Amino acid sequence: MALRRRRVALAGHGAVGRALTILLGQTAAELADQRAWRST
Amino acid sequence: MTAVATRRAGLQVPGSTRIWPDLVSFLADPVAPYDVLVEVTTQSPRDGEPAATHIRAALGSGRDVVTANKGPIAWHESELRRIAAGSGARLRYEASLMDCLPAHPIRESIVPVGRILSFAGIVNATTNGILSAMAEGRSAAEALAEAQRSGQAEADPRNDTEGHDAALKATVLANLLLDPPELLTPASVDRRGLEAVPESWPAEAVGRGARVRLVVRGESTGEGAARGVRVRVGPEELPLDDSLAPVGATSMALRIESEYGGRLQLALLGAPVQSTAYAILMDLVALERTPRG
Repeated sequence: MALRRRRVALAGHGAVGRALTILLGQTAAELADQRAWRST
Repeated sequence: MTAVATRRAGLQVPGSTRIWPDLVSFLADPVAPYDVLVEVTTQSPRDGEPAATHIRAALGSGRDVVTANKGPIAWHESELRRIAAGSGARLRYEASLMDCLPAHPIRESIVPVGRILSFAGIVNATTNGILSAMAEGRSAAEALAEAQRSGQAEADPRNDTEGHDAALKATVLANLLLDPPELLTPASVDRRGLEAVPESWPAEAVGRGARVRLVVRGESTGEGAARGVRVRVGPEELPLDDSLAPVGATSMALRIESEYGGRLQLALLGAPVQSTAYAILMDLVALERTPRG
């Protein structure tokens, strides 16, 4: 996936915003792997 | 992340992330350093502001938007769709409905052909928790205090207990699933909340082998030029053989009846904040996988 190359603006940094920030960090590698797999 | 918009002072962010205090001008600026807006600010259920203003600014500048806020969608979907169509941007709002219980995929992949005739759901976990506690013999006041202590209910719980939150979700669901001739707003929802629940009703219902739930319902009515959509929210006593009755405490569920595929029910068992964040991620991935039209 190209998510790593998309620049995300986060409006609001309450509980959901914080959880999303953590989630994007946790899944970044997997999303990058998916992108590599899809491009082969 | 390249930018964070917040009024909170002293927020700790990674070194390369910029904190932007003037949010609307940033979002509307075509050269501001972002491609997609994730909108999760606190919003008013009465008009969806200020989230609606943020979404207008981003869509107007051609940026895709993912939001967890139901108010802007319920009150302004028609206008936001027009702005998005004009700039080529896309708007997704999975997290505004039932966290990561998927609603968009119902239309996109689960029921790709034929109409959805109706839906019924338990879409507000707070009131479901209160009603479940009342069914176990707690008073309404005790059940609400319990929900507030656990953080499930807000200090001002009326948005949930009066059915406003459920009405907003029912509006968005009806527009997404039932394809009404004209997009609905919450003003057209027949809404009743927990004020319509006598203190003893939930426990008495258990004695009858039933459960009281705050249920949202939407259905297509009429045909041709007379076609319409009716949406309502209110407490109902459901017999235990109703598939929504066992959906307890903090869970949510949505049942649909489709023209060709019959009845289908999806459930989210428990609703931690992570599931809201995951719904946002679902939308971000969906945007990546679907080229702009």
